[in-house]
Amino acid sequence: MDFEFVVDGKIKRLSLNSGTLDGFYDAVYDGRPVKFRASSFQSNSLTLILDGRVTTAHIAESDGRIFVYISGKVVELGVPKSTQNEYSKEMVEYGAQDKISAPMPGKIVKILVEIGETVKPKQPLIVLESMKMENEIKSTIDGVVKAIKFNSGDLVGPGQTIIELSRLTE
Amino acid sequence: MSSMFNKILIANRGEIAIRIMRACRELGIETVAVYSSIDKNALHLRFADEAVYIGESEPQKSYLNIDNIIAAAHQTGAQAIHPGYGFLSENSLFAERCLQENIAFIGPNPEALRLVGDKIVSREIVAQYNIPVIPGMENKTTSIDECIAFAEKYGYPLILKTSAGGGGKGMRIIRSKAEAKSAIEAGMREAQTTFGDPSVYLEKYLEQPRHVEIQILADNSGNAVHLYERECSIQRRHQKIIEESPSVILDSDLRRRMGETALKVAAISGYSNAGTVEFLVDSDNNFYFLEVNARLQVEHPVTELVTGIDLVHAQLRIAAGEKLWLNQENIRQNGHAIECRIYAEDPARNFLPSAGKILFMQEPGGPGIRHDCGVITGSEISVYYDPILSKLISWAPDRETCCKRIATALNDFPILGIRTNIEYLRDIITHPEFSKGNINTGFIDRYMADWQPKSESAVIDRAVIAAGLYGGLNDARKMNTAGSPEIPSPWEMLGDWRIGSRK
Repeated sequence: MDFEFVVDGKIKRLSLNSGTLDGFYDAVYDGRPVKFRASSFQSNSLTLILDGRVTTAHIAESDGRIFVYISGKVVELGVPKSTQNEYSKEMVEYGAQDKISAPMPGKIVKILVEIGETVKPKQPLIVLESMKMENEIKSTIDGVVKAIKFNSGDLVGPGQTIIELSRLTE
Repeated sequence: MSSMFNKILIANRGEIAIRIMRACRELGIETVAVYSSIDKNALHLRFADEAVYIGESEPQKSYLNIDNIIAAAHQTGAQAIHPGYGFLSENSLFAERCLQENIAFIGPNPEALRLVGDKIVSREIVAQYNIPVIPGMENKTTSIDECIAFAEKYGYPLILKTSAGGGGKGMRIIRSKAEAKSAIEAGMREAQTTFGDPSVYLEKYLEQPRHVEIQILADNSGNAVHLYERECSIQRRHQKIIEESPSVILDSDLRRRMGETALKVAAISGYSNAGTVEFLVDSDNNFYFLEVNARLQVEHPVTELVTGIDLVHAQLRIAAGEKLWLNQENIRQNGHAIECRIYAEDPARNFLPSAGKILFMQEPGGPGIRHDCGVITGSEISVYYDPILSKLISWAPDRETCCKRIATALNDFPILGIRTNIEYLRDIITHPEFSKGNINTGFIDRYMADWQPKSESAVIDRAVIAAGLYGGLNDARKMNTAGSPEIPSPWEMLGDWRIGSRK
């Protein structure tokens, strides 16, 4: 997933490439590869371990502004005009409804459908294990399974498409 | 009468209403909260046993509406009213009305309130008892000519004060004849709009004095003690933002003399209940009576932490008719306390008040940290009332440790969604001159005038990474929970991870 933020008038780019089950992430930040570990103990708060240093960030979003509190400072991030709704653009792709993707890093436990199968809204498609918990990922549309990109046992990162559907229109 | 009240009404809101309700609970007293339209979900309601709506959001229609507050007290059977600070706390008409309605007013008797409420009269009276006062006009006025005549006769610099005033509103420093007229006009306009009374007066202006005040407690029979000093020199536009006790400049002799003077003022004015006698101290350690604050003050917690005396408990016991149970020689100062006032304002943009919703807040903690707070995550900060959110107070055996404690707490105090002065306060506390105790009322102008938050690239880098991760995961959560609510949020799943252990 690619992000652009404006901080103090400058654009900062971040690509989150992959994440693993135990919270390790690979990313490219400002052209540099970075590896970090992330965890969260409560909504709005997450802890990063980056270059060996522990950082706890508290985050809130309002009207397209993102506020991040770290070490006594509040950093305000905006989304650049040209790529406004970077969050939502990702979301459209993510939530395009005909592309079923991993909402979080995890291991695919089971694919519950086959190519060519007709699916209905709320029908479970995938079982994904993340942090020792199994979660069903469900369809939100009426459709037909067009492609399955991973197998059981595969690790997937956040945002990676696992299944593609063709929408059935009335 | 010396039996404690069963039920009292708190005619206030925010952190001070909650502070008073806690004290009532401790003493087994039921509480009645009052609230305006915009405060229908305010935090203070949750700390009360009963809550009564008293009018629309404008203070005049609710928290300053004497009839509605009295009616609320009768309706609920409250035997007493605690006014908190601000609003009706120093309104002698309100105190009198309470007496007429057979409701105890938790504060000074109306006569003392009226006397000390007139800043000019009280200065002239205490001056007759050889208490040093700051020289100034002997009457308030609405005449610019009268002010200028006094200024020309007395000389500059002078400070213009409003007769009705408080909180630094309308105050102007006048250094020459050239700026006198426009400053007086502006002060009168501000007094008119803020207090509905344009009356002003002029006083000699001391250059960068310290502001030191003495807390007193007096019972209804004239027995009184003082609870030592609070140093309140860190002020922005004449409003205190950091207070501490003890003051680094008071030696035992000066402390004793100021304490005795404060008790003399209490005796002269026939004062009862809790009050504060304010002084200015010049660079030669001469002190001058300034005024009496006839209420529980915002900064009362620093005194509570160093003396171990709960001032709200004391107010309630005195108001219930109890004879003073404290002896001056048994009251000691133990350790050091500092308070920082947390405001919803933006120090980077000329301290504009910041209204809105608190999207996230986490209170700091640890040994020696007290947080008197009126808000919570989800609270809406409106434009109707004072922007104070809370007070962070630290206690430690010595000043240096106390500074470190409060700086550490200020550094771990996220409030998101609105802007606050927390980082600004931390930068004052950690300023080398503050650490040395080199403070006076000129501190902010001298050291903090051009303050801006420092930009730190390492923090920005981590903030961007955190925001990306948050955005990605959160959108994923939104998308998923929309279709299948039984899928827990990724946050809950990530939550299993702990430092040093992989579950």
